[in-house]
Amino acid sequence: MIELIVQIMLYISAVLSFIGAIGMLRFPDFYTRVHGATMVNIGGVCLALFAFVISTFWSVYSVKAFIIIIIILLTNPTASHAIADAAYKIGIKPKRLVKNDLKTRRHGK
Amino acid sequence: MIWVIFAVAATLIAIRAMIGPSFADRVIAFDAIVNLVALLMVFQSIKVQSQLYLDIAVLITMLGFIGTLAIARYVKKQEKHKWRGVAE
Repeated sequence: MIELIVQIMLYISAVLSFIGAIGMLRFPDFYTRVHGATMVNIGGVCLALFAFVISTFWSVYSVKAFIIIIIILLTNPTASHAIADAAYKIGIKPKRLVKNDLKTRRHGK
Repeated sequence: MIWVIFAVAATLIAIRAMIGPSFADRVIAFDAIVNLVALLMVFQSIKVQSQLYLDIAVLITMLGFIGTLAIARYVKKQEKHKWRGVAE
């Protein structure tokens, strides 16, 4: 039973990684491709780590897996936000932009 | 079967890293590839029922985060006109 749950979680993790990879390949814009990359990272790695926690029956080693989950949940949005901010500052414009709030606040002329 | 899905996902991200029009697409693609390698380490750790591979996973994750943040901080300090040909 435990092995079946672990297998199902691993398959969901692999499918989420695959969906994120398709999104990275087919989205029209850089700022939407960040969404695909974040889905690969959080949806794939965190779900696989939860599968590891279940497969070890909540032993002492699952503390290490929880530490890695917390590290990923902290660092991955930080990296995505930093690279998106840098990309906006050097002039990569989003497509189909209706209203730009950043233009009058911080990076404005 | 699960390795096939994983390999196809890594191939698609590698294609985006090759044809990415700006540098930021390549940085995001390499960050995703690094996290996929960490995911492979977690898979191996579940497969052999050992916790030693999780050390490699946390090290790879931290290295990818520091690399992405270093590139972002470096690019943000540059002049805007220097990157005009690269960004578009």
